[in-house]
Amino acid sequence: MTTTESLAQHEVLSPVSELDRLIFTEHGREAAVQDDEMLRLELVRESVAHHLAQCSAYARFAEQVGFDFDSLADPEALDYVPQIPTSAFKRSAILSVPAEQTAKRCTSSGTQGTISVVYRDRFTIERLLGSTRRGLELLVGDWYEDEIHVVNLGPDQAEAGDLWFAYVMSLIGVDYPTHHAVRAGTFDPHEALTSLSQATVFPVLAGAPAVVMAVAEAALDRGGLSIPHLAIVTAGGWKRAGAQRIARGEFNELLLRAFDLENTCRVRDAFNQVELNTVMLECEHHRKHVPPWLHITARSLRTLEPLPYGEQGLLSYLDPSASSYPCFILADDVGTVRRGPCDCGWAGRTLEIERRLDRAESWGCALKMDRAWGGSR
Amino acid sequence: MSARPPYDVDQLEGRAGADRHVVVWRTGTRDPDAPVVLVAPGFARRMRHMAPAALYLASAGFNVYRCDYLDHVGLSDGEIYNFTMTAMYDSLRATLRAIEEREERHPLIVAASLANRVAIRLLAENARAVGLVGIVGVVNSRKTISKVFGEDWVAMPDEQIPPYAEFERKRVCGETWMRDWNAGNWVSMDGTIDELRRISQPVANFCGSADDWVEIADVERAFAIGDGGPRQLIELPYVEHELSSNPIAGQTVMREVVRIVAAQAGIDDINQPTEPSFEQIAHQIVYERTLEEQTAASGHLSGALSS
Repeated sequence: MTTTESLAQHEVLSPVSELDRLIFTEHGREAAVQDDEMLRLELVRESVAHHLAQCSAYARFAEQVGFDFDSLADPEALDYVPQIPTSAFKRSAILSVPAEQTAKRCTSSGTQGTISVVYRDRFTIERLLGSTRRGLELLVGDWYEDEIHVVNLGPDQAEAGDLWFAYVMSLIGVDYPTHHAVRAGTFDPHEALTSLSQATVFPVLAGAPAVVMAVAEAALDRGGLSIPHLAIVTAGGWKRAGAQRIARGEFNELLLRAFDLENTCRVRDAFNQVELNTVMLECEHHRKHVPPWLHITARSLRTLEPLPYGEQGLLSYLDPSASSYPCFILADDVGTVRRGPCDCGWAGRTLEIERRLDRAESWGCALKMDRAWGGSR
Repeated sequence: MSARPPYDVDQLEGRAGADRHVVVWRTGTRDPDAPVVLVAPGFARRMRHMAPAALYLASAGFNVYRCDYLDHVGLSDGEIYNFTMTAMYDSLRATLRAIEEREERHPLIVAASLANRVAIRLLAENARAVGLVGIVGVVNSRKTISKVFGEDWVAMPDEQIPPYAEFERKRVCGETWMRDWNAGNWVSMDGTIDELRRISQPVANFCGSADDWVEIADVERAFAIGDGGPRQLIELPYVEHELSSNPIAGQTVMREVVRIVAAQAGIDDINQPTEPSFEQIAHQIVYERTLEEQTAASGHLSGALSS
């Protein structure tokens, strides 16, 4: 990994990749403002080349759908990179590294039946964490580690096991002092409230919407808790708690009352799914900002053709931050990608997730890609 | 805490003068024959922030010592408002004495950022240390501190020195800092070079090309003139000063640090050391933060945290 230059005592190590500079450094913050699509094209090209060379299943799939790597020469061509339907991760291990190099087996919750399994190596996990930090900057600004106290309404890292949502949430504890409110599988909203009320520094409450709602209701049972500067991060959606689901506006108002929040800007939702390696967080205007390395295309539900910015469609992602598997995925969510400056001051693109693909639509569109993937196996 | 960390931490105590306590952590094999390394954190960083470095070195077979500084953040005596370079020096010297009392082998120092400048003086005065490896190691403290504090206090008349400097919302008293900085001869680059000339042990420094707090040209000059022994500059393209924010670069650096530390310690069979996994590092970070919280809350050293 090292090269020796003319001076005997002066070694120059291999440079940090542009992708890692984007994710982890000050340089990346500047690039986020520019949201340079040529840079994104270059990062995705490198990633596609890596996965075509290292993942035989993906290479076969690309060949089957007639993909020509050399056609990936301009940003518009990004929409035609072969994308794997997320259902494929339910059937077999899709890997671009030897199995022994993987660091974490990550599983979905399986609310729709079979679970997805994604294998991540260390680079891939570190970059996911990096995207989380970038997202949290939208919320906590330049707060330092010892100025934040997180109450995670989930288990710690060891107890989270392979379950992706719980695991990602538990990793907050690596960066910030964190109280994990689930112990031995038991969740006590009153204990979470106690931890929040005892925080002497900037408090953050993080969890799935249903458990956040349970804590808010426990607070209201006590007549409310006044923590106006509390930051609340929800993630993971309602999943099995679908029957309890309330509209976002109603949810925000409930939290406003329960914690006497300054305003509903204190409540932010985050988006990720087990197959995607980037976490996106909302800004104060409740828009999920897309980091500069991630390409998102909304596609026609009928034809899967790419749609212009601002039109609602089936979401698909090209995420070059994953090295252990090709994170070029066709998801099950319907949403809208928008481009242009946000009222929060950040430029670039934002993502709105509107709903899950319903069963009838699945048969109509995603199945096409699923068949293509299946045919390449 | 529901899982045992890769390495338990022994909490020890060093003494600076008659009544000042320096809290020292030891991790590693506890093998009395193991090579020894002192990992010194940078300014405004605690010893637990060096958990990844400690884990890499412990995994490679070293007994690893760390300390929190006097008059600083962390578990040792005093508040950061009164921080000085001499407080850092006294803390590291106390830790070296604690190591000497417990270990048969002489230590090597791995020093981050500002601690590198202090470690240079310790090596110039103490021939028993085996060598020094800096990580974004400061050699020109005037230039670095000007960046950290936002202005060059050395160029200011005394009456214009602000009452305090603020870094990461922590205040450091201007008068106390300046008095020590001048009296202790910490300011000048020439002082660094003079001390490097007196060091016959190997000295290495990992420097980022995008680091605007430590200029590679300064390190080159310090090593070229301060050539009392072998000198090695390892340049990290595009890397900034805050290496901990870039774990991918950090991983590359730690592999190389282990390689160079092993070479300086005279260990030649370390080509493929066991590397700590992401999970191990994550567990160790959480474990050490909890240990620090418990120690701070109890007010006394508790030894290894039961897990």
